[in-house]
Amino acid sequence: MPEGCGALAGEPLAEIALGIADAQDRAAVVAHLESCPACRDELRAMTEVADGLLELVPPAEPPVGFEERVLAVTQPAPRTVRRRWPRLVAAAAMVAVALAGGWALAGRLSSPAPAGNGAVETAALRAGNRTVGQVVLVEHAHPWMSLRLDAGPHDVTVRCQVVGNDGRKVTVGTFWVADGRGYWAATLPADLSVSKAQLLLPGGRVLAAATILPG
Amino acid sequence: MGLPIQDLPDEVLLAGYGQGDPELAVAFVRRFQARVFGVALAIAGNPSVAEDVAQQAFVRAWRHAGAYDPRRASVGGWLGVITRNLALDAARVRPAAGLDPSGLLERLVDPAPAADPEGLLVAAEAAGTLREALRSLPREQATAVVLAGMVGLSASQIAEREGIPLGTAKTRVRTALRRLRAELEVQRAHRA
Ligand SMILES: [Zn+2]
Repeated sequence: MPEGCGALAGEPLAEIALGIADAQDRAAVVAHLESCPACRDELRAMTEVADGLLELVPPAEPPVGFEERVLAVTQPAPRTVRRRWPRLVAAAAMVAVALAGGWALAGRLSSPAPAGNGAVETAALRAGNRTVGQVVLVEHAHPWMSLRLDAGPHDVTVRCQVVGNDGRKVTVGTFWVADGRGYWAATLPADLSVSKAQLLLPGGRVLAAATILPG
Repeated sequence: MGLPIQDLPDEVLLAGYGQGDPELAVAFVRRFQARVFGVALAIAGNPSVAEDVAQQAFVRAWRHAGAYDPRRASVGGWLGVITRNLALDAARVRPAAGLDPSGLLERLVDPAPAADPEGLLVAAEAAGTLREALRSLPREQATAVVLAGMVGLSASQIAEREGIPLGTAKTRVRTALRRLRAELEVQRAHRA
């Protein structure tokens, strides 16, 4: 029970977090949550623990051919690529807020990368001599990039621009930064060989930039 | 600087999978299939049902890749929840039929050395902490929370199964979850 809130005397929050509450309990709690941030936080924390139980399950190799069957259903033809992407970008832009505890994997990016796969490039996003994030470029028939900002300004809209080897500048997205952190993805023009990606502040000043070395 | 696809973060692989990028899709499925199948198998019990569930989970993840919210869960956690829900739907006809909850609890707190350690690396630290916390609970509380959170049994189903009053079942579930949470916070504070 969160401090300062005695409204949920029966404490069915645990059952809700575990997904086993009955309709009556759920309705009562949902009504209360509308007006109680303390209980909302409590429920979020409990849900995190409840969902974490699944990570304790030992992995098991699926039967032979599983991977092919999944891919046959989900990746039938490359023509869906363009259609699906904008939604993802929109969702990614929406999560341009506190990635609290997120990017647990960021460390993996900095692990030494064996040479030999030029399809994916990573580069540090730098502001002056400070590293403030990371850019990942995926160079395929439908190239795209993701960008992570760890230490940026608060409450500002930034524009992401890529610069080609030929000097051409293309804006690939505009993102809201709530508290200095965010993660976004965007498609890139297929005919552009990117040499640099940068984030611009509203006035046009460069906030941070990443130089892409030729693979 | 080139980076092999298998070293990309989970979020990037998921984005590529949802987008229909062939190479990233393969990498995504390879990274998570043992995890997804493991959850499906643990809940469904039957390998052919588990395979069906695991495949549905990947299809759902593909359709909803754009709705993934990194603030709320790791990619693995998100997939785990999708898989669990599908497995529970599949098992709804005969809830927990053939399920051995104490065997399941045993495997959760004391797993055999992982056959696929690569898939586990991501969650290893957090999962280890939670595993410790689960191990520290009284047996009956750990069983109750596993029956609820993994098998999807309601408090009254737990009461029936364990031969205890409904109130006791509820108390076990609530106490267990609250203690797990508190234990995790203590361990986090220690590390910080
Ligand atoms: Zn409240």
